[in-house]
Amino acid sequence: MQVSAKRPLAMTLPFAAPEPFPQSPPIPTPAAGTALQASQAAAPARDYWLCQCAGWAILAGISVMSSGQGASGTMLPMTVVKLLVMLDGLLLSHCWRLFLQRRGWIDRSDPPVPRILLGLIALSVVQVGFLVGADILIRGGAVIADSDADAVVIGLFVLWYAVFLMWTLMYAVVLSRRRARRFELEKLQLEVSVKDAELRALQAQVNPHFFFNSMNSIRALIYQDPDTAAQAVGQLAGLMRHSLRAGQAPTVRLADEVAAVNAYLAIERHRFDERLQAEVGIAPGLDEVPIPPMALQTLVENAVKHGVEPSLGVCRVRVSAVRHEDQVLLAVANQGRLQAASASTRLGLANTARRLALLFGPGAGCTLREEDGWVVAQVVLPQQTSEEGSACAR
Amino acid sequence: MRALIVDDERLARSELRRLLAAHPALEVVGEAANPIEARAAIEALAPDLVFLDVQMPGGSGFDLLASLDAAPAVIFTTAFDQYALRAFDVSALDYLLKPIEPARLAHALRKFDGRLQVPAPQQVPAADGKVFIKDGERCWFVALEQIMLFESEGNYSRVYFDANRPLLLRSLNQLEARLDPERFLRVSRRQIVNLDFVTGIAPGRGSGMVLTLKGEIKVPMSRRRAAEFRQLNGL
Repeated sequence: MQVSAKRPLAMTLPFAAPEPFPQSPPIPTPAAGTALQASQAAAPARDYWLCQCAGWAILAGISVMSSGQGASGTMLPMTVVKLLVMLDGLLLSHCWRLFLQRRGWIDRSDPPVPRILLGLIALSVVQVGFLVGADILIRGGAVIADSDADAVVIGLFVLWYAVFLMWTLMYAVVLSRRRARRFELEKLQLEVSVKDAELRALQAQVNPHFFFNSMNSIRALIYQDPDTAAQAVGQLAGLMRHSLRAGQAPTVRLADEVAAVNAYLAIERHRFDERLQAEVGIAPGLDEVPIPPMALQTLVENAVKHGVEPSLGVCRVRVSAVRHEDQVLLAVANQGRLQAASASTRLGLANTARRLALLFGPGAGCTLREEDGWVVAQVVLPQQTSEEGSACAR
Repeated sequence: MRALIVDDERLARSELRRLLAAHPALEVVGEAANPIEARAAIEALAPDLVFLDVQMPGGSGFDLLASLDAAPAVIFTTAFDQYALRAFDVSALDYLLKPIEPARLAHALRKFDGRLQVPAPQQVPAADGKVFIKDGERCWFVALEQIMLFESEGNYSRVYFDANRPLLLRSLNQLEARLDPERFLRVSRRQIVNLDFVTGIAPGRGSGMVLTLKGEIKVPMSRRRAAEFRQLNGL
């Protein structure tokens, strides 16, 4: 009996993205944070004045239109009074806002409502006082001359009390929504930083599959070729040291990273024999270039995992670093095919690209492509002038 | 006892060979570096025991087992896939973590040896056979006599045992050719029944019959098969 068709190989893994860089340096949040806060502070202030002007203008419009029936001779002074009253309303409400802010009565979850209501009475009294004053000056006191002056003044007071109450309510609603959004943002930022810490802790670990296989190879070598075994122990130690150190620094020298890559490849050569054919070509003068720790190493590990491990025959891996204009290009290529990227792969790539962009500016990035039977992972690191560079390193 | 070592890393193979040298009762009859070589070696050498790496180029150790008609006794060797192994219902399988501890290896071999010593309860040699079933991410290592029913689903067969119903990549015809006819009866175009599990037989539509299996599974028997069955049993 024979098998008519082969089931898909569940254990062979598709090409996954280069796992986000281990110990990627702390994201320079302070600088980004201040910029963000500044722009956030500017937007509400602008919104506040827009709302104020629009609100009072609308109120003025309604007020002026409502008195359109009067004789033309009395119209002008009346309109002037109304406009002045609206301006005063704007001024008073702004003072009221400053007062609320200073007392801290409003931007909190339990505002002292009775005090605010009392404050509104004072506000309305001042406003009606201003109205009456303006009326006396401009219209000769038409309001107080009214036979029903008391009722009119009380009516005006109630009207303005309602206006300021509405104003305060709207202001409170806007503030509480903004506070909710800020809270949401803070929660998000906290989550991100926790995730970041988790990720870094995870990546500080040496890939256990690699570690235990290496230990197994080394134990075999102890009996077959003690000198090579001793050398392999040194290489493994060097690689571990580099990966531990990488957890503490935002960037490492390219030369140090390349040494780790070479140690890694030497160990993997024992495991894969002739199946792994690796070349490392680093252009001269790049030794001091700062790169995110384990950036190159992670790409090489991925190339081995997805190129060499599943390959029955020889698989070549090429590691290169070159300067191209004001950029440094790190590339790791392995023979093979790029499998359809899974959602997690795309997410991993996007995350890596974002981290690089945060560290090295918008020109930095990470790409994965297939060309002529090679899968090429490339990292672009823009090299800024010295002061920009130091800003970045900070 | 004849053993085969399957691992894609040369050093891992030689290390295991070195460790096995301490067990003279066990003879390493071959090595394989990938599932293709391994399949050929298992068919040619018929080893008693296979040391099988989980991750290999060209397919996993599970894929290799699932492609075999009769699963050999297996001890998995792995550097870090024990979680994958634990996730499977492979209690019949043992695994060793690389680098392998000599004491762990001795223990696994003793266990295996004990299993060999136990006389098979059935005298039919085919009944001793086990089949490795891999359905998606789940795996089972199941003795044929535990299987109650095979049901045809195109190129696949659904295998009924305990509460599991995985799909096996074998057609019913392929299975029929291999299964012990004393135990397994082709009752229709679509089903093969393990007679040990039959609890009742009732007349069915026309001159067919309906078999009741453990767990109240009803299987109709075609007219032609029923006639053959009656004749066979002198009914």
